[in-house]
Amino acid sequence: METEGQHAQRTFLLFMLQSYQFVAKTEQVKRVSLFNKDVLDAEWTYMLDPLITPSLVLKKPQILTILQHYTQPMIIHMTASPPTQIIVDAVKDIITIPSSSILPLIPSILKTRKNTFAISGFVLHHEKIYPIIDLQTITALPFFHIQKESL
Amino acid sequence: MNNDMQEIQGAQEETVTLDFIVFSIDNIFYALSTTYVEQIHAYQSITYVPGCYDHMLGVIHLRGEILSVVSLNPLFNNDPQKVKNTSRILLLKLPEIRTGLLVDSVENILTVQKDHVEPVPPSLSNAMQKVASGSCMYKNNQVIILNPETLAHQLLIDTKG
Repeated sequence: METEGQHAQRTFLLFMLQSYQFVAKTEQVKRVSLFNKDVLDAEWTYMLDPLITPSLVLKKPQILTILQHYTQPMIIHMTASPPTQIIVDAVKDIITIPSSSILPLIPSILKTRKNTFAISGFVLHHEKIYPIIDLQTITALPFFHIQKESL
Repeated sequence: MNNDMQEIQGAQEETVTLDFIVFSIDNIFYALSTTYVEQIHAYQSITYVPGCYDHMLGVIHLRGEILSVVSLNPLFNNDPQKVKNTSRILLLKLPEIRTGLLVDSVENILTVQKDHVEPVPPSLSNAMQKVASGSCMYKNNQVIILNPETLAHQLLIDTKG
């Protein structure tokens, strides 16, 4: 007998950060728009690059250099309160995943994570693994926060 | 008769052997007891997981299971490991941590008489000495025998702070 939820599906936003691909739960995303510093109206704006380059300090020169290398900078407007937005390299797709393809963190990852850890699990999609970035945890990392004047 | 038995027992005690998997990374040979090696896999693309210690390369998907993969190079302050045609992923079950280990090649299974195991060479770096328990010879090459307990301990701390 099949139980309810056995065929449950979840949707994720697939986005790029430098050359890496990640996903985020669509429940955490209100909308996505092309990057334009004039539309940065949220109280809090973040960049995720220090996740990839831990030594990175998000000061104006570094931010401008990063943005130059982004494929197609886009803004993820989050459903968080206060209004929060994240600038990413490019938003690639929205993917639908069966619940069985959502996998939790494994002990060896949990035991070797730093305090900048923002991954809540993995999804398997077309033979590839995508780490799930928990956008809510990003907002708890103050050094990912950038100021509009820096753009 | 009793003397004969004692001689046989004595001979058995002298021939206690240890089985190791011998592998290489950057032309250095390492050995780890086969007890701690679950499987050997061909290299497959590793998905980077940000926010982990430097020696955690990421994860792979193997038969429905997500497995982490580590590299020894960051522990030893060596340059990042390059993937080669001969690269393999050893699935290790160490105390406190089960993880894949990226190696340049798997050489052989080596059976060594316990009394042929030499002490840790003093020429090794401090970082290597922390995870070594001895050494032995393989095809005229020195092999560093890894200590599973201290190796696991080093993998579970952020050596880069």
